[in-house]
Amino acid sequence: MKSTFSDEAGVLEEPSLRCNVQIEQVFEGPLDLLLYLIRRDELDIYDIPISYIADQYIQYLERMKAYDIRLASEYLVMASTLLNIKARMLLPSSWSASPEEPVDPRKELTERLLARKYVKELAADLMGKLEEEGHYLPAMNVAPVQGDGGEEEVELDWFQFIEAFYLVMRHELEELPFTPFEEVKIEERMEYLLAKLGEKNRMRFDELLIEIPNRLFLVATFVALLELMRLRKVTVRQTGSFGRIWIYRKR
Amino acid sequence: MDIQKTLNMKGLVEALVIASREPVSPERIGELLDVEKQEVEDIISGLNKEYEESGRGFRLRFIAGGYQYYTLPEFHEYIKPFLGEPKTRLSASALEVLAVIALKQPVTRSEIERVRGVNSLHSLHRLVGLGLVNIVGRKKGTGSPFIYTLSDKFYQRFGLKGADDLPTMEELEEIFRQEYGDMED
Repeated sequence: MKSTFSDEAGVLEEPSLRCNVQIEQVFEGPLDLLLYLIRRDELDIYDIPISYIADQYIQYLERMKAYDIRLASEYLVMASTLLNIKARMLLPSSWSASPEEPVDPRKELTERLLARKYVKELAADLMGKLEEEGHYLPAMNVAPVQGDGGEEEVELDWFQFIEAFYLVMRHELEELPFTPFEEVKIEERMEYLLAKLGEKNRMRFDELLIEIPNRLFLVATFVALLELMRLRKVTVRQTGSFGRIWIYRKR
Repeated sequence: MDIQKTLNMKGLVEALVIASREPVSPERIGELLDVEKQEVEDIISGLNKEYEESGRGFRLRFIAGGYQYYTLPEFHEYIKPFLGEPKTRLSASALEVLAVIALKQPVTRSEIERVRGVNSLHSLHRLVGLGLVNIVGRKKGTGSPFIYTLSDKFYQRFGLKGADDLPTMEELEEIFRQEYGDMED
């Protein structure tokens, strides 16, 4: 059984977690912490002593707090879930609405822990496959011819792009939901756009739009694009005056 | 006469696979040659046998739903530095997100996060950026979240034939139960 709980340095990839020290580097989330405790104390995952594990879990959180480590809210949610299960265990009559079919209050948690375990193992397996497959190189095939049906592509400047954007997005904008309490960072959108362009030379602008969940996101993406144009990281081209808009990576 | 026909067929398969930009399914090759899928498979194993016997540096492999030419792994260490191609490095989080999608696809972000127990937005963005994960649509309902699946590029990069080549939740459970039983004994 694989148990690499201590070398999950991969979390550094998740910028939102970057500032939460230690605990995030050791455990990626409360499920991981629970799996660690189960393993450490050789508990039966199919029959978790919930009172014991809840104590251990909360003790662990307390220790983290003593080190002045800010806990991600997920850890606190799990603590309350554990206490909730513990309370329900004490009242067997409340296990289920119908007494003929008592449902173990731990059932859902056990299922989540197992799923988490399987995912970790599959992830390790995939890493091996990726490594192995990297030794086979596919025949490099000729890239498709650029441009659409011979029509000439014109590079757009800021104002032309804003105009083209408006033309394309006019209708779409109305349909997108407005979510007031979300935060979208322009820098993150810029990073994302560059990553998405990544290996490709260019991407379709409308392809980008299908990924946009709400207005705020759309605005942030648009501003990010303008910023990338200003920094000369990308150029925007359009085929004809109402044609397809392409974003090109500038090298 | 039959031998002559087989020879031409071999040439045709080679030409088709080489000229194609994507992996070519045996069904499509069969369509072109007007033969059954099994015969296509036979021609391909015949070709691979010839390549092997004549010491060629490539083989036809069935990856991501179709056949494509691949260099042999033993040449990798020599040609890779020569080509200077960067290798895609994936973080543990990114691999886990791929694993969840592999087990649950088609899947939304909140479903992925439920399994992992942590925020997965950045890993998902990165994977979409790398083209390993596709957004195939939106789910109806609150917030109409995106639906994610693994892309052909994923299967290609991981050397998998397709979705059927991945284990299911049930299979993993079976393996785990067995190992767990062994541990208890």
